[in-house]
Amino acid sequence: LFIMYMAGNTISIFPAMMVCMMGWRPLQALMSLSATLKALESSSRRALQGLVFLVGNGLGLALALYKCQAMGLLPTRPSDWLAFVAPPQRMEFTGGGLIL
Amino acid sequence: RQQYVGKLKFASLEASQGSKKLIVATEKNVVAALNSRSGEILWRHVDKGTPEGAIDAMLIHGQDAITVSNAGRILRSWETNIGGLNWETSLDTGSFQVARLVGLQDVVKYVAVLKKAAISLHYLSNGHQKWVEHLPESESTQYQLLYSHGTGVIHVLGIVPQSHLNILTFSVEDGEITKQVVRVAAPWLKSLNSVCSVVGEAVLVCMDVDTHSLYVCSLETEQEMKQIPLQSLDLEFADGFQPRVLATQPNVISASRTQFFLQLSPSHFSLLQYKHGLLSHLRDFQQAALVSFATTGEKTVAAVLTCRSELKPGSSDGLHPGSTVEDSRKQESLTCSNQTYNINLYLVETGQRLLDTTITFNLEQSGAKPQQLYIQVFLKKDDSVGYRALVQTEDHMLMFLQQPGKVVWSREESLAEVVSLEMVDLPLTGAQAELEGEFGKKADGLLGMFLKRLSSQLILLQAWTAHLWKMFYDARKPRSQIKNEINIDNLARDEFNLQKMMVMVTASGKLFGIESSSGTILWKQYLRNVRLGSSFKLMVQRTTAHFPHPPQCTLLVKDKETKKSFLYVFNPIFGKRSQVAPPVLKRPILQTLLLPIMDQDYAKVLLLIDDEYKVTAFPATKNVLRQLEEIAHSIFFYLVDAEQGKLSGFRLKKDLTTEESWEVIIPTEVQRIVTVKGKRSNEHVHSQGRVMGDRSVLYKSLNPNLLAVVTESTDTHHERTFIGIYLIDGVTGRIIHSSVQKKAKGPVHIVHSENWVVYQYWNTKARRNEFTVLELYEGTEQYNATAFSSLDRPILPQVLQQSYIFPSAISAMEATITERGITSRHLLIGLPSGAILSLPKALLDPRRPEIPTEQSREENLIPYSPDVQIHAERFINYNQTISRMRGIYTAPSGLESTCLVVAYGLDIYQTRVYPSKQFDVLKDDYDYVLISSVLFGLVFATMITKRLAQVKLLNRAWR
Repeated sequence: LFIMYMAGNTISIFPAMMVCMMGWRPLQALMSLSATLKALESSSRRALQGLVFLVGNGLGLALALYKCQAMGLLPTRPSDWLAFVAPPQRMEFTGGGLIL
Repeated sequence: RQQYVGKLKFASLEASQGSKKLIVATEKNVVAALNSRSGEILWRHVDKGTPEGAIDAMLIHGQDAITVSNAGRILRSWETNIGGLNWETSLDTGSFQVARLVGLQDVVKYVAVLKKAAISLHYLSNGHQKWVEHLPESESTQYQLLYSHGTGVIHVLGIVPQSHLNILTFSVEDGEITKQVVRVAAPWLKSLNSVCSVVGEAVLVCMDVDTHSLYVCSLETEQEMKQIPLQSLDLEFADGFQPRVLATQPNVISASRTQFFLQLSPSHFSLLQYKHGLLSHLRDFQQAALVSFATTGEKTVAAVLTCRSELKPGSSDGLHPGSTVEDSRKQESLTCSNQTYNINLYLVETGQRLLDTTITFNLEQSGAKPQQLYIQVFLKKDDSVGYRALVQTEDHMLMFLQQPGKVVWSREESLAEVVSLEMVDLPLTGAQAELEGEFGKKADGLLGMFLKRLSSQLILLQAWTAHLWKMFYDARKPRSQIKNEINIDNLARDEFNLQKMMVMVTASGKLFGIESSSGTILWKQYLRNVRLGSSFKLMVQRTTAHFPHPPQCTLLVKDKETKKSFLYVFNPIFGKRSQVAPPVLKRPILQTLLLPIMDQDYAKVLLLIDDEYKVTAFPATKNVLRQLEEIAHSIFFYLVDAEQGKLSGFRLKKDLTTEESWEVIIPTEVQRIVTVKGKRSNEHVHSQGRVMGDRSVLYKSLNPNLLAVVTESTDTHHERTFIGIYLIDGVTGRIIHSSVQKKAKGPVHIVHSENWVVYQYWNTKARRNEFTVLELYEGTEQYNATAFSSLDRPILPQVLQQSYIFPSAISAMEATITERGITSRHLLIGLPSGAILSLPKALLDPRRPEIPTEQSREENLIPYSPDVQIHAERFINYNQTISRMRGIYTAPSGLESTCLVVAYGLDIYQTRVYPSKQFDVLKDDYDYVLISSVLFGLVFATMITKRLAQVKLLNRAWR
């Protein structure tokens, strides 16, 4: 987390890689949720531990997303979608000019 | 680049057989030498385009060409071999009349210039003035003729209209009047020009229409004019025609020839002789279009251009659009019906025709009349006369003819004055068109479609093999022989649509189709009944995209004087007149509008509004009229009357009449409307806004109906002069922005595109050229993102404005345009030096901050600096300057990064520009070999490693 803080909000290859890792780890962990739960089978407070695992990973993911947002990697602004705005349709036609 | 000189005013061919030069002075104020073997320009000097540079006279003596320009203000001498300036002197003011070489005792040493009130004599060698003399009674007398023939005196002829002639005789040596003023009563004479001429040893011959007689008078001895009635020679004038007397003086130190031509009617000349006080008739020339004298050695010949006599009346009728019966009948006497002309030589002394001197040439294609004829005569080895002829036709075409009727070269000088220009895509090749046509047709069953597909594939295969075969065949030939000749048959679109057909309309009324990459003229078409000074409007109604319908262009021609207008519809690729009959226009047309709706043949609908504000549609099929009725409520016209200072808008009603919806009056006492610029209809804007530093969006105000109106003040005093800019909505007439630039003067060049307007003017206070840029933004919110209607715009756009200093004047300005508008825009600025500067629009951005901040840096805005510099590396035409540029035309190509540019003026120049570099093209140095070898290597390596891994697995399993 500290490294994340230190990395700053500029976009360059290392922070981007770190953010990717940061996002990917919790996702990976969540994918292997069932396996983790199997490992926890013996435990008595299985549900709670599972929940904590879920929440923790979720937090990690949220943090990664926040980081992305801070770095400006998420397309949330209208400017990000500007290239896809279709030109408005023309309602009137005009023509003419100086009298020939 | 192609260079032109313009319409000829004076021309001179060198009289020896081996000479290769042809000196011309043209109406475009150009002095040039042409190579008479090839027609190329050897050298060319371009003077100012204004009347100040106009060439009044040109005289040739040996290796020197003397020109008088700027209404007799400047006398120049040019070296004809290399085009250097020998000397230049400025003369006193006074309206110029005539210049003439003066010789004394077998040497031509001086040039005499006759002005309204003075006569001056200059040395030929250095231009110094020998003497200048004032002419007596210059207020009442118009001095118009100058004559000398090596006797040491100069005769000056002045005329008091309807009263008498004044003959003055000056001595060449010191300019004294050697003989007292001789007054010859001539109450019938109004002007000397062309009616009178000097023949023989200073004998004046004049022509009088009213009494049908010739008057003859010797300048040296006689005091009276002798009247010789024409009836005695069996000659008759045509009614209402001003007769002309054409004489020749082959050498300035000897006397003129005693023979002269008398033009009796536009096509009737007769050769007369006045010798020893006797007038005799030598030969009569009927049906002659032009006559000319030429001399070589002792022989003087007259060349007569006649129409070949096989008259086929009526054959030229109907060929020319809009010509009424009346018109063609009037022209019948003047034009040749089968457009074949003969040039014959006649010996002057006897009027005999010289044998084997006929040149026959045909002007069938152009249909224009010859206008000027210059003859270069030389003696052949066997002492017979040979000659070459330079013919200029009505459509400003120069033809150089050689015996027997061979056209050595021809130049299309009308291209020196291009008025209107459009670029049309070239058609697809036959095979491609076949494929396109297949998709265009209606489906007729699965099997039929399949067979058709097979057949078209087969044709493609055939074309491909033919192409391969040709490539193989070409490869064996030496490289120099392979010429990629472009002609009208193998014309086809290239892969990226970079070659196009340029359709040019010239001021003489000649249309040209020019292939853009090589500049070859592929077709030309002369519209005969177009008078100079007509206004043209060229529109592309159907492009080549709609195979099998041929492309279609429409030209609207309106005569300035008679106000008559007509439409000429043609195929822009082949130059042929289209089968479609254009509507007959009874009323003068004020303006046109090309609608994006199409009829069933994919031709865009053209609306023409006449002076009763009624609208004519072309094509006017039922389908079109129905479509028009549906959308009539959304069609608007605007008309700008510069004379009355009135802008008015009209709305189309369902019955194709219009009603006025708005009017803006700009008082003409204070300012006058100079230009009105709308937006280009084919312009695409990709980005609807600009991203700000804080990542919000500043939306552009893209009003397609916006007009930029420029006015100039009528007061030209440098303290009070101003220019005004109005941005007016063409639908509602609402003034969106108006600004007045004080202490500014035109000429204003303006570019209006996307959401910005750039204009350039002269700042009289600071004495410099300035640019001002206006940009319109809607703000961070868009009012209506899906549709734009001028009628529903509650918020006025924000206008941002900034000015810049530009170090040079400009002669033309245009913005680049690309297919989809993704590429950044550049301004193309034509400088008076002939260079074209490509200036990024980002440099002229009103959002350039004075103090750069974090946010502006994020936006990539350049900090404001008031001066825009001209960097030589931004010139797109390098050393190929375009003299007297009048306009720049831009057209998109098939590549998004590429924009085609045509600059026209005296020269025509075509190139491509890449405003954002070639981002969609692989670079020239792209290493195909390396990339593909690496790719193959990797594929190979994976295959090997896969095999190795398999082997290893197998081994492990065995273990």
